[in-house]
Amino acid sequence: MPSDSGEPAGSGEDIEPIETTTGESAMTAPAVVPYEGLDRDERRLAADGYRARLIELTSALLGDRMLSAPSGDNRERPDVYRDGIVIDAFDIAARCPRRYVAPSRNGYTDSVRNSRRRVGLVALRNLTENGGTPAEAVRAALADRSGWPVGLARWFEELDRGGRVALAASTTTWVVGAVRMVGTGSGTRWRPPFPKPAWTVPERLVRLTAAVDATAGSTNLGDRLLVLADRAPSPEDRLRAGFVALVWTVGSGRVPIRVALGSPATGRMQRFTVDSGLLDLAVDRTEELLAYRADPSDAPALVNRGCAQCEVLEDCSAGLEHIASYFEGPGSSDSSSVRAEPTM
Amino acid sequence: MSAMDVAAWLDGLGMRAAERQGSTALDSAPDAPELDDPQTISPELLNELRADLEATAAWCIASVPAAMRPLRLPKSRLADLSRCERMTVAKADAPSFDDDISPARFGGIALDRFVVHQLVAGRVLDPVTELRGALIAEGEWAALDYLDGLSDGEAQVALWPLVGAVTDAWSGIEAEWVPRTQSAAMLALADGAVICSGLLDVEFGGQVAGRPSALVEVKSGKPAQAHADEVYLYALLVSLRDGVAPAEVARWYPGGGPVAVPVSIGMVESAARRLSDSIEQWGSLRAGRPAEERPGWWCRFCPAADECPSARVDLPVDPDELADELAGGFGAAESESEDDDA
Repeated sequence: MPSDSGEPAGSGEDIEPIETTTGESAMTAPAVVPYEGLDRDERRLAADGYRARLIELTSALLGDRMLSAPSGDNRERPDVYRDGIVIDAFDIAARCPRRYVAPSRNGYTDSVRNSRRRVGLVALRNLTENGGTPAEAVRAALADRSGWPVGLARWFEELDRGGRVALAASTTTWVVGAVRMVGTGSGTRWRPPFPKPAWTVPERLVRLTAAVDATAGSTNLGDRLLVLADRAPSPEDRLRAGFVALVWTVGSGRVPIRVALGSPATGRMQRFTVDSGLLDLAVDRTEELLAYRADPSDAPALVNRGCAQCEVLEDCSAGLEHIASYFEGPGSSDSSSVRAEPTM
Repeated sequence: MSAMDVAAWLDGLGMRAAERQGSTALDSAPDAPELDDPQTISPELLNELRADLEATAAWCIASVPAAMRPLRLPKSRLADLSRCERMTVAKADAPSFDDDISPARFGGIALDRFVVHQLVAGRVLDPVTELRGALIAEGEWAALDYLDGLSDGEAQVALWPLVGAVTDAWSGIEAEWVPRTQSAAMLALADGAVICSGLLDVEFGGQVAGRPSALVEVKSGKPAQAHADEVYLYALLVSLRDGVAPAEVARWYPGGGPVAVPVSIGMVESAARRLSDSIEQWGSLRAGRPAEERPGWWCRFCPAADECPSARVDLPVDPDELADELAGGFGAAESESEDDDA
């Protein structure tokens, strides 16, 4: 359970003062190990344990597949994005395994919506360092693109004035939403927009990635992580927080103590205390997704409301059946209707 | 108020806030009489409203099949529910419905972009090129196709009047108001099983600016009661999002000034009641209650018109309501996206 989702995030505060709650699960489930209060060596030791578990489960699932050593006649170095499996926090709550494993036909395209967070993080760092207004910080971020990822910079260069204005406006709105959630206090360290926290399983073409927008705390006391999302809070957020914590754990080699998921659109901040229960949940889900990706033909279709917009619908008999029943079922457009009584 | 532009309205808002602050300081003097401001929307009231909505949502969602969750209530659905339940269900089940671009909707889309441009970079100099650039950057391909389908002359004729109206009304706004465009405000209830969402055309002020908070909904049609209901809903959503009510909400129509209303207790309470009723209505429909058919001018835009025995595609269309129905603005982004949840 989130330790708090009941009240709006404290405007004008940074992450540090709002992270004030204690873990509940440690009190109710004795087998769960809380990481807050452990010293840095103990948290490192715990991280080593999670790395070992992920290496072990990867080996068990993949055997001699997806090895990162060059192979074949041309000895071309394999690429994890092209030849391997990347599990990102974005996918962690995917409902339908069949859709999750299907190659995306639409693919990723740069757009204002897909770019504003990354540009916004640069602007937030400007704002923290130089002060000024959010709009000024965004202008500075757009003017100095030296630290941008190549693809994003190239996309921006191709935009004309109207496109750049659209990006500036959307980014400013995003930045103000972030500031409204956590303020501009010095305790919040906005992360660079790239690279994402990631960990590649040693000697494997398997990588885990999760975006983290800001951190607070210290190596000694433990890291606190903040992730901002456009979506409203949902029951899957505990899993999302767990996966972010897991990637940070194995990527940095130290277990964080808290993960906060902020939703600027709702003003809600959910704070999750990191303990072994949260990380184990993420490990189990990682294993599940890895198994689907390793053997895509075994991934079952799990029908849901998203079937109507699913890009693999035409090749999915379960989805097609579901759509047919969905449009005939209770509450759907083909269910019975009645003529309203005249209201004159 | 038609002569007043947005900058003048904001100036007045700022001055009134400063005056109130001054009088509050005076009232707090030891010998000052104790006065209650009847329009103060307290955190306690907002908590009560949220608790009432939570209770409604929890009660409704219990009977809604899992496949129909989450219940999404963007502003367009609230308007549809007040017209015809069968149309509401049909539109919710027709995901491509929002892709249709009509001239009125295209005008709304362009108007929103020109307001954004005016606020961020000043006057639009070349509306066709700059709108095109914005649509490409946003990936708004349906609107871009529509624009590209117009001849240059048609596009210029359609767009220049909008540019003129935006320039007249939206110039000279101080940067200190920290304008934000297309800002999301959502209310998630019942652990995210019921979601009411809004996309605010323009937000000014607030804590980040140290000035009173104000919202403006940009409208390309003519004034209608439904528009007032929209901004009242936004006042509620922003109040619950920020924990503080905006000072005023306004609608702006090309050719006039902002039509502004102070946010009052009555406004947020009535918006909460309307939302609560809509949650019940939509929840019961998704739980299997037969949808009522209520024919009206909207029938000709209903995806179920061909099968619906009550459909009256011959009814005269109310031009003001029609403009509102078809003017989308950034509406596609506001409509429900089941895709995100799949």
